[in-house]
Amino acid sequence: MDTQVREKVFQEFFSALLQGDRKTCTAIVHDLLNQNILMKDIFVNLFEKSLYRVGDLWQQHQISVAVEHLACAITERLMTMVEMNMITLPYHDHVVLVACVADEYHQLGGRMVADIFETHGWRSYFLGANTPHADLLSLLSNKNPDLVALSLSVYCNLPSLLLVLGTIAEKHPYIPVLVGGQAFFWGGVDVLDRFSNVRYISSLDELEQVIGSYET
Amino acid sequence: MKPDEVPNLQARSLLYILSYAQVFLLVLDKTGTIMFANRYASHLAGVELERRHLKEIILLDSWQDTILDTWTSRETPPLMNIRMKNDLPRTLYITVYREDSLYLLFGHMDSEELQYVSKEIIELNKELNSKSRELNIRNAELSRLNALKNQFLGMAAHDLRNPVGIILNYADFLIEDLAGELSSEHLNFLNNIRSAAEDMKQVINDFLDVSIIESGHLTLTITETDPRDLIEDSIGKVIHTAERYGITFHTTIDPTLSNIIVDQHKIKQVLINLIKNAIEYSPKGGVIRISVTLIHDEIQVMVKDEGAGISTERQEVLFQDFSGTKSTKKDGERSVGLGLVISRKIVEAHRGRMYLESEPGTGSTFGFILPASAIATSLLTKDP
Repeated sequence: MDTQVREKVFQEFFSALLQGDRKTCTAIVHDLLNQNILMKDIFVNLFEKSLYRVGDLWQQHQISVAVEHLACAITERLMTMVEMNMITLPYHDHVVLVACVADEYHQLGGRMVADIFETHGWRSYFLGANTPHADLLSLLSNKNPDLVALSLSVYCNLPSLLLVLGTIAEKHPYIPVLVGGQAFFWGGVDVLDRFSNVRYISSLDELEQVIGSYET
Repeated sequence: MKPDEVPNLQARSLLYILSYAQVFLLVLDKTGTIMFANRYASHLAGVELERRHLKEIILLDSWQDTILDTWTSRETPPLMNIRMKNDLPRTLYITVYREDSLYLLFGHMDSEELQYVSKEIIELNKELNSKSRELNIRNAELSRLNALKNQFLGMAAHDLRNPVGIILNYADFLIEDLAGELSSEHLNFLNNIRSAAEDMKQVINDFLDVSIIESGHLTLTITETDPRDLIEDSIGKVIHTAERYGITFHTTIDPTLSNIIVDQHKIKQVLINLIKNAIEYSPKGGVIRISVTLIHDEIQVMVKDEGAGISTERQEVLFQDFSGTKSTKKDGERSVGLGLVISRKIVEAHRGRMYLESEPGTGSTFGFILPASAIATSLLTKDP
């Protein structure tokens, strides 16, 4: 997507994030909000881009787990700041349930997805990290959503995701399920083909296209 | 051999480090296979490490054949991220030495970094707590504004009731006294004025009820009442409307049920509301089935219609305050959708609960369930 977040601003933010410099990060996001830059632009071209790079550095033994955790914590705090300016009350009846499966502790991607639905007037139920299967299925029966969106950041949690998808396909075959997240950069998209109600979403742009199909 | 069995101090110190110190030590061959691991290393990994490959304990897919040489050359920050026995990650700051065809890998945790992160997390937590406090203050302000809104609603409804009552009275008076003198068109005008005023009175009464309930001033006058009388009186209030659409009633009352303990006026209000709704959504010539049964110390009052049924999404919001369920009824009368909300609050004040079962195409059963004995009896002596 075209972005209003300039590379220089991104580099300043990313550098501050790696140093755990919360104040500089906050000031940068504040400036972007004052320039009326869209929430999705900030999510994708500042937060997501930074965290993917943080993930890569961590994977390559370049940064410690402490730095990674602090970067996530700061980013999540800043997401709250962005949400306050952008999210409105639901203005139609569409309902989505967003969750990370059991053992998946990275919830920022899922939260971004929930926020994007909210900005499109959906009522979103965000269950957060490490949602036990039973809780997810219980809420699914209870809320009967139009869509379910599941986020997967760590590839080794794929079996847990497949387990949930299997149960949803069996018990709620008519509820479409969207699946996405950084884990799929390592593979696994093809195994989703076994579920007719599941669609892989590669980006927030693609997510917005799906949301748009409900609005027409 | 235990350290205290070694006479030489240096050798003994080395054995202490190998056996007890929180120093991570691996001896690896040139392929990365672990030849020796000290006790702390095995403890962190949660498995015996000897003869395993290093790639089994570092982050998934992060092994490269050149990684040990890279670490030895110190070209990159000396970090190694491992997976512990509980699958949580941990970072070790490492030093790697090459000794002939072996690698010695020492690792430790950086307590300064951990302290820094702890401090930052505490700061973030403080910031969140302060935001939570702001939210609490704003919630309190919203509650105060909501109470003001209810107060205003009650005052406005109260003030509107009198003029609407006057419109109704004079409309009745004119219809009765001038019916013979007016043209049918003008008589129709008067009937429309009367009908609109009646609708407005209902809306105003709903607003008044809501303001009373929301302000916590709903009081019950609990008495023993025959459920047969309740049903009969309630049907009597709506029978003319039902007859207009050819709708009939089928009533079943549990013969073992004697008197029930309720506020009869308020429960009648609930019943009338449910029956009116059933008439509203019944097809012409339909049957409305009303039942009162005693099941396991609970009195279940159900009103079943033969209407189109209600989708699950709408069911969720039907009993919510100002849920946007306002609709235009059979006669063009507009409803603000407060009837079910008021019913729910009245039933809950009786320590009961509302009931709804419906599926599109199969009609709906609305009802309420009240405690029959112990709890109901306590209502006779206590405020709800």
